[in-house]
Amino acid sequence: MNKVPPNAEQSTDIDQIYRRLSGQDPGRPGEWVRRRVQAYAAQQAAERAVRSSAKTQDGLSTGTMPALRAAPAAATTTTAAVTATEQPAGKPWLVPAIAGGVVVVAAVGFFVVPKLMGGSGESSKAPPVTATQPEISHAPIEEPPPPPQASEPDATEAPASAQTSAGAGDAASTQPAATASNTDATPTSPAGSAAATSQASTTARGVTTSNTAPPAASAIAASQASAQRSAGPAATANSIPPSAGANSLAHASESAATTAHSQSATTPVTQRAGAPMAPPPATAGTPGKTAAESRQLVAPQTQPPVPPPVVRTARATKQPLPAQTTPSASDQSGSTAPAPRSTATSAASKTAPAPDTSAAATASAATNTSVTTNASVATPASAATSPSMAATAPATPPPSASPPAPATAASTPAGSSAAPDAFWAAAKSGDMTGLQAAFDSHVDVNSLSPNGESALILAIQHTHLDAVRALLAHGANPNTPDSRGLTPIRAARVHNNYPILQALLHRGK
Amino acid sequence: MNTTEENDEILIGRYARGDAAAFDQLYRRHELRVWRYLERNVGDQDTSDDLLQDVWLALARNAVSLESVTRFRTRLFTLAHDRMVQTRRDRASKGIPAPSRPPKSDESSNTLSRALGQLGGDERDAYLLHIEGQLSIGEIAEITESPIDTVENRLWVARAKLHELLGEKS
Repeated sequence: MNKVPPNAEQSTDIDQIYRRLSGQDPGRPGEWVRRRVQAYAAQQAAERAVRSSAKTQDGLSTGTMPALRAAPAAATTTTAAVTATEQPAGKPWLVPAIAGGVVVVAAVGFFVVPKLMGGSGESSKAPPVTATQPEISHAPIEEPPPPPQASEPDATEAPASAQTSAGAGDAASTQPAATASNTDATPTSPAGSAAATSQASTTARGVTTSNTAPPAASAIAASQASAQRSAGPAATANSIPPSAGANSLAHASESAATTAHSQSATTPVTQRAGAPMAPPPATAGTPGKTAAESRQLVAPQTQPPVPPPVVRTARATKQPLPAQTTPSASDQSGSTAPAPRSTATSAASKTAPAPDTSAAATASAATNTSVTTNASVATPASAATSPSMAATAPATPPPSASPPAPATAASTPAGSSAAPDAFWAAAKSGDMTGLQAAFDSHVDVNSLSPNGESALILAIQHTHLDAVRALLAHGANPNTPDSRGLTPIRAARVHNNYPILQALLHRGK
Repeated sequence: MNTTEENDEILIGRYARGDAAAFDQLYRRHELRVWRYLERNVGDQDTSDDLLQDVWLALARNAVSLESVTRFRTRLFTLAHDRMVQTRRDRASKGIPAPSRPPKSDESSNTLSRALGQLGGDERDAYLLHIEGQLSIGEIAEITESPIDTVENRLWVARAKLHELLGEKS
């Protein structure tokens, strides 16, 4: 009668048999599926790549550092400048960043270039270099940069106009640059440090900066702040009025580029300028970053919200269907969720089966109370705690001479009386007559014996399949645990009783 | 997590960034298993082809959201399971009987098909998710929205029946 279920080894054998037979199955999906899927995937990938590249370009044109990095051409930088000036409302950090950048560039032209062109202590003592000084214009390119101590008097003797122009910039952006820059020149004044780092930033990008304007020109450059700054170094070259010494100054800046003004000195300046507003990881302007990396960094801002990794939330497309049309509803309800599973409650029943169990436990507790007190009137609470039992009760009332009770009377504590010992004894012995008599007296089929065992578990443990079916038919809950927490289903598994397990899974069918 | 699973997540991430070759690699890796899961559940090759296409098109469409999925295979078989169940429900609501499994060309396939056909729908689904999808009981419980005990029992019953149907013949 009872079939011995497979043990672990047999399960492995069955799986191996399945795999062997499955491997011999020549069935394959249609080739058209692969073609269609791959064509669609390629189309989606192309669209996604176009969108991502468009986002990258948009980020490069609107951001401060991307504009400086990716705008070597004048036309591009002009467009970037226009874009940047057109969007100050959305990026309030743009204006101070632009102003700071312009001031830094102007300070470079005013302080550092004369020092580089001079090359000696006496030339550094000279007044700020102008484009008309012939001896400075012939400064050799290979000449090493002036020693750090030579720059100190230059920085301290800076004219008032240059100090004010440097002070007009973002002080927060220029001051930390002195500590962040590891260049050979360590100016003592903020303006000097800003000049040194700004020089490094412009030359390190390989852009010839001829914006080393004389003092008068630097004031003009400062007044033309926003457009030139956002346009990048190339745009600032256009803003300087041509002079006789422009070429020589350019040579001097190139020589400075060869004297170990590294990017490590430039990055802190630019990051600091955009730091108050930009997110910390968004170092899109770092020259070493690729476009893809930059896109990844800014992705959280631009991409649509990604659903959380919980699979449940991602399954919103699942169509709610009536529980009675769900093929798995009966099986699922037969295990731990006796109530009909609707889509609205499926998540709760899946993720937290505890309420159902607690409801059953509450019902059992209520019935136990009724046993001890022999209460003939059910409490509303006990009736409310077993709605699932009412829903799963058989429609055919038991034949009895008692007043006609509703179909749920046999399973709910509302109409149940105390379970006599004969009931558990009948379940234990498989006495169908005794069980029927108990059913007729509206016994609570889920009540626990004094030993803490339900009638269903007793019938399972003693392999009385007919008794199990009768109990299930009269509303016994296959999920109600006994006092030790053993559920009927688990008891059937423990006893390797396959037919009883099937009956439990199918709720007596 | 093994290397294959890591590669699955890496591949779907690459595809989400526009690498179509990564998707091809994913498709070739899982195509047959997903198709077998569908075909042995619905019992109809044409319907299985349609469902397979739906599953992979949905994956291609929502690849960006799949970047955050911890296990790609779980998500893949979740999509396949949902579509299979939907097809089953549609058939039931329209009164269309489940297709009789057509005879296969070889006897072993016929044996397997018949044995699977004698399993209950949920038992077969759980077993195929386990054996074809190589999913754990917890993952199957999540996919089928069932308690773990229920999944265990379904697997147990499915194996018992298959042991009865296949064990003797093999």
